[in-house]
Amino acid sequence: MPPAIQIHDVTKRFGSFTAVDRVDLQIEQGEVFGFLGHNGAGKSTLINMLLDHIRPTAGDLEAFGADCQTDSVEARKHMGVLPDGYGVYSGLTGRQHVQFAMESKGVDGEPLNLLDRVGITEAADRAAEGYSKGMTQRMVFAMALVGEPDLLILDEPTSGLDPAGARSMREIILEENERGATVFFSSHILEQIEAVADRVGIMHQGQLAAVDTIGGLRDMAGGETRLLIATDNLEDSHIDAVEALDEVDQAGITDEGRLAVTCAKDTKMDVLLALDERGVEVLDLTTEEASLEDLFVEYTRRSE
Amino acid sequence: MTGWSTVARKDIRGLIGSRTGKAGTAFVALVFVFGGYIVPTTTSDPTMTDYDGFIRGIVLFLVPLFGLLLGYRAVVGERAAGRLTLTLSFPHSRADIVFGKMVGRGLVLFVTITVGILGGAALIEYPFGRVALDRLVSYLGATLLLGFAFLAVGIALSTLTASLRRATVFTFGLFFLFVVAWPQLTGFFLQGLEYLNLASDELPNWAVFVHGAEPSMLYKRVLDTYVSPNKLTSGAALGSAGPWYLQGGPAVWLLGCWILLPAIGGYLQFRRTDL
Repeated sequence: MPPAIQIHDVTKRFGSFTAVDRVDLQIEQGEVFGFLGHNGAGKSTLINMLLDHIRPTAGDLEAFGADCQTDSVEARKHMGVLPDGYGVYSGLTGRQHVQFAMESKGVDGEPLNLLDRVGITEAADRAAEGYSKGMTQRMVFAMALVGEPDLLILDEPTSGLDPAGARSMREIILEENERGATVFFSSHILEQIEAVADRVGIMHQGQLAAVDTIGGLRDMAGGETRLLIATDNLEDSHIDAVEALDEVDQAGITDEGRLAVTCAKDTKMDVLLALDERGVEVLDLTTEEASLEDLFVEYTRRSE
Repeated sequence: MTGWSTVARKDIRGLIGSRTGKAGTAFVALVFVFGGYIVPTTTSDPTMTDYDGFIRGIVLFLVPLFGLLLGYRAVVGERAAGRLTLTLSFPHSRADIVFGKMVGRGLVLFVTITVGILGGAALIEYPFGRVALDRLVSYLGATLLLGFAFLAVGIALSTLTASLRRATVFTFGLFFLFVVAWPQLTGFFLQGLEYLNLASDELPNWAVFVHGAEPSMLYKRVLDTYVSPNKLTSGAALGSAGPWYLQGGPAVWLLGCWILLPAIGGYLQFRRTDL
């Protein structure tokens, strides 16, 4: 079984600017892979190379064993694509757009079923040029779903969608994955990726800074927790004692006079016990777990 | 593969779906019909030769312009608007795009000119005229070739750049050079060649060939051979007295080259560029 996507040492330069820098990536069939990065990090450039819209300066890409350059039509037969920076056809309705997608893929069917699935049934016979951004995005998503593709490639799929639209798109993505489709989607919104992705790749300044599961990324970034402890009386010696504990990174006093401790997740109890031993009463305790956002910031800073 | 036919069908649907598309094609067809309406009012017993004589001046501008206008936005317009990004997200090759558009727009051009000329010919024939079938077919064929040649050149131009504005400049520059300026340059060529001691008094045949290899000049030569043979002119059309390569037959083939070479060149250019 060939991997759904195989990217091997791919570089793309535009003049002296390196948009994608020596990226290696393999995505297995059946995965939901989230591709995270700021605008301009190189996500769309990489996706466009999978589609043969642009050609790599070096390296090669494959989809289901078909070379994306020399055999790009075959590669795209496996794909359903919601690209970035597309325009709709003038003079054609939403139904005709899906019709075109069906003709292109060589499948029969009722366009209305797909338009229904993405929730724009009532606009099917209007010219697509008059659609709102969100409706257009849904229509092109419906075009991507034509013919039950093996691989869904979605570039910033939720852009232009309201929260309800974004949620229903996430649901369809999960349904498609359930059916057996591999999903490769990019986003600069962390919650989107956290909600559906099995694995995450972080793209930063053209380089793939990290690839892992969300849990794995957390662990890699330290898997640390921040404790905020309100106490009745706190002396410097207490802070030193806490800081002396194994697996405590840092301890200090916040502006509000609370004790802030950065430590491994399972060291929480040790910190509380150490305070108790020294007769410090704990009045309140809150914990902050590192969010994907923090991880992202940390990764992008690290690779600078 | 049905890739190109899918592209062609969508292209036609889009063209006739837009108001400017409808109005433009209707206008071109009506000019041909109108010619057939006017000629019988000025000539008794009109024939295709009279028809050609009457509207050739207009056709020499109208058909190249129509072909170029149909072609020049074909690729670059879709590219600038991101529509190619969408089309090429489906299993279509770059060849499907270029040749599908040529076929789609070629069909629109074919129907427009054919309907117009047949309409015009019908008005010549009825009630007093006489339209010889071979002349009609020759006239129709030559005019279609001229249209296809400029359509192919227009589509080739539209693969050269990603900027619609630049494509527009190229197109009108080319229209001016080929259709407006080029046929008037005989005198300049003669002077130039005389200066180089390559000619005296009139252009040598090879220079006539080179100067006459531009599509609208070729079109004139084809018509002068097959539709209006009694009309002996000098310059690019020497009539049957000239050498074989200045006859109508080779001119037909050269017009064919003006369709084929830009089409292939445009495809090769488009195949290797990033969108």
